[in-house]
Amino acid sequence: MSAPIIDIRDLSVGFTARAGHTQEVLKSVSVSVHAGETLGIVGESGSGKSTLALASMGYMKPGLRKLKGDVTFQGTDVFAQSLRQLEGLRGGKLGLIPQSSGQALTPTMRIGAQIIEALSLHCHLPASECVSRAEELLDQVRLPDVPAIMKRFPHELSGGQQQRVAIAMALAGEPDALVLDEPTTGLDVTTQKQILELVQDLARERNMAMMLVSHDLGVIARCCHRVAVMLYGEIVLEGPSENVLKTPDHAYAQKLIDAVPRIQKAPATPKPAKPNPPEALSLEGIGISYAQPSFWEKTFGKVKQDSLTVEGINLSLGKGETIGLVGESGSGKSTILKAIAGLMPAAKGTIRVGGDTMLKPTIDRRRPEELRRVQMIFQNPDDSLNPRHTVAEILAQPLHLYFGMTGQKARDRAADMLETVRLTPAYLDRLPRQMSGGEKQRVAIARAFAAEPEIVLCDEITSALDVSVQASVLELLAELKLSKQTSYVFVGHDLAVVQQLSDQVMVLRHGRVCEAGLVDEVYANPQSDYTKTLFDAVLEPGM
Amino acid sequence: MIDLLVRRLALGVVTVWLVSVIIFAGMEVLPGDACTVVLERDAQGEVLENCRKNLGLDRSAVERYLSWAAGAVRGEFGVAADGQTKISTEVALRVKNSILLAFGALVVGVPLAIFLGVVAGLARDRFPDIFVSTAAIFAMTIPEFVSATILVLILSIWLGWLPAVVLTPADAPMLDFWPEFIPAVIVLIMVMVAHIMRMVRSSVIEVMASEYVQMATLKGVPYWRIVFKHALPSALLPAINVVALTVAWLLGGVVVVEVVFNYPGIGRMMIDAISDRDLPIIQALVMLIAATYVLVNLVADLMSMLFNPRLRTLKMRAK
Repeated sequence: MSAPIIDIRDLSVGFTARAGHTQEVLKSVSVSVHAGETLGIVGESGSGKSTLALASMGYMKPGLRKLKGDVTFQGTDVFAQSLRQLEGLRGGKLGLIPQSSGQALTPTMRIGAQIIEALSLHCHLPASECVSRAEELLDQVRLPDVPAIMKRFPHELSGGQQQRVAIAMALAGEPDALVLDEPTTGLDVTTQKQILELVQDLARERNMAMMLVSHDLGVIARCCHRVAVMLYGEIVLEGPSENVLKTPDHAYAQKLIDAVPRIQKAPATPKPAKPNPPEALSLEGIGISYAQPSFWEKTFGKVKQDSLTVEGINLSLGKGETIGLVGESGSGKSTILKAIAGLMPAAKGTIRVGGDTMLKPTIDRRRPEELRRVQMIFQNPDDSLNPRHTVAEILAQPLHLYFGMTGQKARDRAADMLETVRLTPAYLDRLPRQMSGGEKQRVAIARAFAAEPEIVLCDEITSALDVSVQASVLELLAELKLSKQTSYVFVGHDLAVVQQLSDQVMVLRHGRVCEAGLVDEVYANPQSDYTKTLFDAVLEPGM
Repeated sequence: MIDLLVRRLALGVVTVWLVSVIIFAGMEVLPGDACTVVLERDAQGEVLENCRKNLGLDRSAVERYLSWAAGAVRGEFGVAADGQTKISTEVALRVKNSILLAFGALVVGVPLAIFLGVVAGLARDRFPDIFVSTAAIFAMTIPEFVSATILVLILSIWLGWLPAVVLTPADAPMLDFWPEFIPAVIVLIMVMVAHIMRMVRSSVIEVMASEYVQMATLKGVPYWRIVFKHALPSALLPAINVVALTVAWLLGGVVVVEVVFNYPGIGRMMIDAISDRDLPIIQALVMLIAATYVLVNLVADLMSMLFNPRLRTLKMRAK
């Protein structure tokens, strides 16, 4: 076998935490990637997988330093290179495809200029050829209308297009190896599938070595020849992906793989048919517009009805039932939640709770009692919990607002609520930053349930969490639903997660309903082409 | 874009109009009027009434506001309380002097502030940054009258290079203020550079830690090219608004500095008018300063829109 392209030997990376005390982020890691091979590096947040990927390019985030070990690229030690030599290597023979290209492309430079920059740095082409070569590259990553894209700024492209531009930029240096740092995180399933296909095709054509970092085992399974599983800065398991993903020889790897929700083609245990539960929530002909009414329209009460972002949404949800809303970004699924919550007024249609109470479109026109009945849990607990409030203060707010509880009484109730979400009362005096992502999301769930709601709106509430944490949060939601007979409207992009929790499902596209029905029926026998495309794009380990 | 411009202009006009109403109402509420000020102890009986009739003060407040506002729109603010000085001529003279001072401070101060801010931001927590940032805190916290006095002590009394105060009359040609206005300019620069520099520094630090700068590094872009092509175009955007505020502050009359150095600008005119209870002049100056603020902020917003592709295309697409 020939020499590896990227060879990492016994690498330790760390930072100085307190006077003299060194904290290791990577502990004696050794991996290598050969030409034409894709190595997957998988692990949960904080496992050091991105640090490893960047270290292979001789780069470390500020504060980190190499403690021991070597990284060689095509036989040269990258940490022994001068800055000048590293500049020639990075973006040249060794390319990077970053996590979210939306943030990784310079916002003030046009797409064309950024690609031409990479070309002029690494290919030494005359200026006249740079433009045509840049257009060629953009064409190669299958972007439409290349001359127009060249003139755009990054924010004028969609997430998938931005990622394609980043790939074109990496290809500009004619790389022998690519480092992909969570290349599809944040993209829709269908876009993710296209991007991965593109990268794989290019890798095959150019016989590139690739190092693919991802927390998503489905992505890893789809692309990688070999997989390394990381935990707390160490590689705990490495081998051909077949072996690692199907018969992992390590307890943590096994746990990680088991935690991945999978779509059940034929429901193992058919959900018991409920004897028509009383109606908890109904939407009739909901239409929502993002267009802000102009000053004149507001003054004279004329609101245009023709530009509705979301239209024709009808649903009826029974007590203790869950409806899953799925669709790609921009399909309007979160917008519907906001309309139910009153955060974004519905331009037309009616929202009813408990079969009788009509909800006003805007939150400031709803009575506290009406507000109490509908609670929302947001995607990212880092954004939805006040960083300066303790858990006790966070939970006391709904208790005070809806039940007038204060002082010790509210504190006792808050402690009870923590126990319902399986946290101990010891968390009462913690601040959000003193908790992990999963714990914070539990607090957010406790806050929603403190109001004793009838309907809980969940907006992608597990997408910011690691798989193993996601599994336990989903379990908790299922438990609460059973014990409190709460109804959920659950927005998710992961079809398996939605299936696990929902009774009904609604597939949305461009703000219109594509398909709706009972989960078991839709998943077993999808009717619309779009739903089928969505199912086809799902990546699962061991498929 | 045009739509936005028109709307912002209209809003600006409304703001200035509201200021005019508030100013006029405020002056109405104050006891006494121009006649009681001019006549002082004689202000009673027939003399007072005649004076009021002559000046048109016997009309209703609304009528007086309308005629004043109509004049203000044409740039005519009537005569000062002494009954002779034409306010517009005097104000124009002072504005010219204030612009001279502001111009001097801006031409030197803005480039200097941006340079220092970028240097400090790039060298975060190392020697140049610590030195510049500490100096900036001193420059910001020392009151202008203290730094002005110290400057006079050093430049005029110990070194004897420059006169301590400006003796040139207000209506002298601009060149006559050279070099007398230098100490005043230096004090202004000290204050404004500190503010702008700190803003630029934190913005540079933020942008240099951004993902796109990391990406540029990993694309093999040399350091200085990253700084100039990738980082600074974004990092300097927030500076536009701080510079605008500084411009408005400078043009709106830097009272303390003008008084300390006896510089005949708007700030001193304002102070003099207040101590003389010269209501027409105060009204005219406040209107002028309000209009300046509105205009400068409008220009700043349009400039940030012009330089920020995100804002620019967002507005265009929204149309």
